Amino acid sequence: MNSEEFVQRLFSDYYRSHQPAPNSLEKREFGFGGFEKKIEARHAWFKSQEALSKFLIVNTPFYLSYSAAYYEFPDARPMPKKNWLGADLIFDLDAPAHECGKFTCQICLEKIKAETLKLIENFLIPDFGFAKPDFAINFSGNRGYHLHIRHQSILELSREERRELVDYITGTGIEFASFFRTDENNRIYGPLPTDGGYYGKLARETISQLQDGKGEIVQILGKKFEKPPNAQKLIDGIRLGNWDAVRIIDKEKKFNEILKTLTIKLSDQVDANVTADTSKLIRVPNSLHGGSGLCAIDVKKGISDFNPLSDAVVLPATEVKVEISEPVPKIEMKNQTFGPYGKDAQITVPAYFAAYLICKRAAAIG
Amino acid sequence: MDLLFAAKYPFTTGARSALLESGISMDEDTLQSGYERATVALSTGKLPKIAAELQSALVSQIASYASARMLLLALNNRYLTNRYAVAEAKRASAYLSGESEQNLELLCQELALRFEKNGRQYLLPFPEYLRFNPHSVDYRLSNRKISGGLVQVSPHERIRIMEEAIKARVGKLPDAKVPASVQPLAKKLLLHLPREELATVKLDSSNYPPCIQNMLVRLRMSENLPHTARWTLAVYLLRSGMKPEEIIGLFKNAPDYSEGTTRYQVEYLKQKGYAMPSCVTMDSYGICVARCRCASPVHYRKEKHGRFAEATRTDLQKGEPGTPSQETPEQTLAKKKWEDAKSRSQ
Ligand SMILES: [Zn+2]
Repeated sequence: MNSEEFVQRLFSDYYRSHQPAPNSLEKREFGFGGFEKKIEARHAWFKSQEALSKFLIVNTPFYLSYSAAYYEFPDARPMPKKNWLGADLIFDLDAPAHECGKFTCQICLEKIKAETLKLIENFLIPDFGFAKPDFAINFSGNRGYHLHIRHQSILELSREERRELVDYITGTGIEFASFFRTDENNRIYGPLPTDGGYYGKLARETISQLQDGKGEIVQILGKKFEKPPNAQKLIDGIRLGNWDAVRIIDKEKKFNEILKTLTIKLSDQVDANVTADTSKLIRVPNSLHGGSGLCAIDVKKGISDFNPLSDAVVLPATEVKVEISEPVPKIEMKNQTFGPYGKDAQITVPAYFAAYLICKRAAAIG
Repeated sequence: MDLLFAAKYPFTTGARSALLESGISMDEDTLQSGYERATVALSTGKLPKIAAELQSALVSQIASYASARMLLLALNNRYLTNRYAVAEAKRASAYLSGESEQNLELLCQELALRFEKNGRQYLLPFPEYLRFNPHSVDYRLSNRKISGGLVQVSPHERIRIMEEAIKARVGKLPDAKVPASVQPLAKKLLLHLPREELATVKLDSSNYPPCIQNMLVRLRMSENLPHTARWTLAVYLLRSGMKPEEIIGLFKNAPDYSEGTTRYQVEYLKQKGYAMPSCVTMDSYGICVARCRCASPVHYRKEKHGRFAEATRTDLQKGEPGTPSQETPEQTLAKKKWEDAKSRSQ
C-alpha cells in the first residue's frame, strides 16, 4: 500500500461513519480533487445525501468542495445554463505567510482565529445585524476559517454588492475627510461613540484603549496619552465629538493610521475574491482536507476555545510506521508533542499524525 | 384611487389598477401616445411633468406609460430600455423632492425599500442600500454609518436611492408576449439607437488594461457606468491619445447620455490634464477587475501583465448582476484533464 492509498483508505473509513451533510445539497455544484490537485473536476451534482455519502466511501476524493451558489441545474454547463438562484455569503480567512510555512504553527492559528472573531464581533453582528444562528463557522481544514452566512437577506446579492461588503470590512475606500471636519480654528471634530460604521468603531476603540493606557492606538497617538490626565481629557472630548481636546501632532496622519487598525486583514485579494465570486467552489463543511488530513469541522462549541490541531483531528490513533522525507518541526497534536524529526527518520506515530505528514508531503509509508 | 399619484408614478401597482378600471384599451391612439412618450424620453433623455390635471388626461398619461413600455418590450433592446428608464426615473424624481411624506412612504412600500425614520435621517437595510445606491464615491459603504444592518442616509440621499429603484423597476420589462401589430410602430423607435460608427473604438486597444476594457464592454452593453468609472475611462482615453470628439462618441451608448454634459466634462478633463489614478485608487473606487500587477493602468502592457490578468480573468466577464462567472483557464484545464482521463478509461 502506498502513502496515497493509505490516506485514501483512512478517509474512506472515516466517511463510513461521518458524512458531511451540506444544506440544500441537491441545488449545489460539487467539485473534487485528488492527491495532487484540489479541484480536478467540477460541475458534479448529487441528487441525495445517500448518493453523496456513497460517492465519498467508494470514490473517496482528497478534497470535496461545493458551490456557495444554489442552482436550478447544478451540473449544467457552461455556467449560465446552471441558472443561478442565489449564493451564501462566504468569508475566507487564511493565516498569512509565516516562517512556519506549511506546518502552520499555533501562533498563526491563534492570529487567524482572533481575526475571525473580530470579523464576527466587530462587523457581522454590530454592523450588519446578523445574529449567531445566521452563520456557520468551520475550520478551513488547513490554515484558517470559513464563515458561511445563509441568511435570506443576502442570498441574492450580486458580485458587485458582495465586493462592496468585502471593501467595507477591509476598510477599502475609507476617506479620512468624511470622518473629520476641521473648523475655522483648525480644531478637529469627529465621530461619536454612538455612531454607526467605522465612525463609532473609531471613537469607541480609541476611548477604550485610552482608558487602558495601552494598545496600538495609544502607541500611534504617542507616549503623552499613557498618562491618565491627558487620556481622560481626550476621552471627555471624543465623547462630545471634539477630537482636539488635547494637542496631537500630525493628527491627520495618526487618525488615518488608527482607522487602519480597525479593519479586517484578509490575507490577500484571492480571499476577497472568494466573497465576491458568486460561483466559487469552497470546502464542504465537515469534509476532510487532503492537504492536512484534518477535518473542515463545524466550530460548534464557540470559536474562542477551538484548537484545530486537536478539535479537527478526526482520523484514528492506530500506530503506523512512516519515513520522514523532509525535516519536520516540533508539532503538538491532540495534546501530544511530536518531533522535531530529521530527514530519513523512521517513526511510529498515530495514523492521524502520519496522515498529516503524508498530506504535507513530509513523510511516506515506511 | 388617487389618480394624480398614479399619473405621477405610472410604474406603481395603483397606476396599473387605475388603468384597468378606466377600461382604456390598447388601441391605435393609446399606442401612438406611448410612441410619443418614448420618443421624447429617448431623444431628449428627459420627460416633462404633467401639464393638465383633468381626470381623463391623467388616465391617458398612465396609458401612455404602459404602451411605451409595450413598444420597448416589442424591441427588447437593452440600450433603449435603459435610456427610457433613466428618463422615467428622472421625471419621477422631479416630483419626489416636493412630495408629501405620506406619498413617499407609499412609494417606498411599492419599491420594497424599507426606510425607517431616525431623527432627521433615515435607515435602510444594507442589502437594499447596496442594490439601489447610486454607486458614487459618497455612497461607498466604508464611509457610511451602518449599525444593526441598517445604513443611515439623509432625506436627499433617500430620494436618490428611490430614483435608482424606480429606474430598475421601469427598466425591468415583463416577460410577456406582445401582439405582432405593435411591431411597425415599435421599430420606428430604433431610430434612437446611437449611431454605431461613432461608438466603435478605432485605436489599437490591445494594450488596454482589463479594467479599461471592462468599462468599454459595459458601455457598449449600455450599462450605466458609475461616475468614477466614466471619469477614469475618459482620463485614460485622453492620455492614450483619443480625441474628445471620439470619447464623446463612445459615451453615446450610456443610457443616460447627454451630449452637452458629456462634452463639457470631457473637455474639462482634457484642459485640466488629470493624472491617471493608480491601481490602488482604482481598486478603492471598486473598478479594478484583475490583479495584473501593473501599478497604474497606463503602464499596462499585454505582453508583460497579460498572464497575471488572465489568472483573475473571471471578474472581467460581468453580465447581469448575479450572473455566475465563467470558468477560469485553470478550471477549463482541469476539466479537460478529467475528461481525457475518463475517455481513456472507457
Ligand atoms: Zn506560523
